[in-house]
Amino acid sequence: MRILQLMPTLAYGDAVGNDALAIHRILNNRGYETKIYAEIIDKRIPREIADPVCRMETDGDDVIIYHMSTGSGLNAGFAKMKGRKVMIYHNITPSRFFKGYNPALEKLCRDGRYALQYLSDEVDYALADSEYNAGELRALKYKCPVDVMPILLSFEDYQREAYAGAVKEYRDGKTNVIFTGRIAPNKKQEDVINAFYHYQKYYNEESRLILLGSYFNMEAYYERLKDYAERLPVKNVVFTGHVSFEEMLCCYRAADLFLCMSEHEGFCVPLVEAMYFRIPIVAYDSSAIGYTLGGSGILLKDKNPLEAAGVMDRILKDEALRKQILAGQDKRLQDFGKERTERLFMEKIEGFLRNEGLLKDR
Amino acid sequence: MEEREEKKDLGPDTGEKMENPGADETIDIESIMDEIRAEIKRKGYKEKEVRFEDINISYADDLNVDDLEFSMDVYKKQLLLLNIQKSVNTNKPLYADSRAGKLEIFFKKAFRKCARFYVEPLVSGQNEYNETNAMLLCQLYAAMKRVEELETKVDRLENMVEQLSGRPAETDNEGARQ
Repeated sequence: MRILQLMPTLAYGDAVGNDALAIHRILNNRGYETKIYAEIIDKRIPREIADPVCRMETDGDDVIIYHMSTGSGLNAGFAKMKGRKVMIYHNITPSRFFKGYNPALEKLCRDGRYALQYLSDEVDYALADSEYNAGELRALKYKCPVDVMPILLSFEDYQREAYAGAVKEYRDGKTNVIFTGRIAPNKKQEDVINAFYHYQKYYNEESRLILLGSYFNMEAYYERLKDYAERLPVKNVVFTGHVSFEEMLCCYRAADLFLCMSEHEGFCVPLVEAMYFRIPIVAYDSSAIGYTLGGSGILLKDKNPLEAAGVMDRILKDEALRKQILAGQDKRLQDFGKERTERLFMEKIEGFLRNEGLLKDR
Repeated sequence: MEEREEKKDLGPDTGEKMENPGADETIDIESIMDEIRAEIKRKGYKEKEVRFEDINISYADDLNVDDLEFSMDVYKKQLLLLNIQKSVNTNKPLYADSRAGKLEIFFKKAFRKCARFYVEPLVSGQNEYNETNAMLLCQLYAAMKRVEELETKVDRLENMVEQLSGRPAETDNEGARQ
């Protein structure tokens, strides 16, 4: 019996890719024969870990873990494979967010959602990154058991040194508000800009907004955001674009507050990153945001930019409140600790294997 | 602006003991929001009326046709390229991806022969259309060159009129007939 992972793209450094690599490491350490297969594999990933999907062969005893996060021909291919099928559902952005910006991406997301429905009776077990994701599968009447399993995160790399010079550039006395995420319409960076505009206008002119994330394939949305920022007008809005890991660390280390107005997230790893870097979080309560925050941070029920600005100012000026928020975030961060989540993952997978009669004495 | 305290990078992997003062105290968010709303009302803060929905989506430069400027040189260059690219060729070289190279190529050739009855009429139709298009654009180029020559002639004649009459040349026919 082998436990194989399958995904359309194994990228280096993104949440889904990191999740797959972490699972590979855990299974390997536990003595399982395991490999990752993907249509596209980042060339930095060693061949002994991942192979092209055209080389994949399975038999009835194998367990295939499929990372479901987008439209792909693999979605249907997965259903036809021999072996037990486990889906890890990372969520697929609803296509409506990309309308008018990127027709190819819009179609990919729509096709992904069709596939998600199709797979409702083809999968033997489903793990969802969040309660929100699990809820979607249950709403689609998935026949198999559905459990919640947070994405596997490791923060060892975050202890690296950031470029000291770059940190200095942002530590110039201005208050730094940050949001991390691809420049994408579902993440609603326009609402972040709007709230920040009102914060800068009414509370603190000496402030900067850092929008940390690539705008590749979202150039039309990016241009619209820039136009919007100019029209308001708001000063000191930085679109970093794609940055290196060290530059990302700089931004986090210089940030005073994390502001999220996203309307669709399957988990939102940047929230956990903000917790790790002890940045107080203000976030709009949508999709999986509430689950990931787990009662920590400040959740906004609506997007009134004046109120959001007021909350930001209160947190930044009220040291006791800020400490209380950070304490809550520290506590929530423990739930995503490496040892805990790895143990949880193995419990779930081995529970499934036991039920299927595949777990031999180890 | 007071100096922000240096952050400790606490995380579950560091093994450091976390400080959790007040970790179990629930933050009364509603109460904070009520205070903020009252402050907004008291100070008369207003939401800016610039809506994101009013910002038009502008696409990449090469799709924004309104900004295009005509260049005869660019047009001529593209026309030459078009005439090189216009024919679709069905006889592309075949390569082997696997170790069984010769066998793979044999099967690919066989498959190509079998599919020929369907593919070649389609390609032939496409090539005819491309040829027609290319000829049309060549004619358009010839027409534009003619227009350029006539524009040069008109400019020259207008200058002559201006010099002869001592006043700027009329551009409409009524003025010219006086």
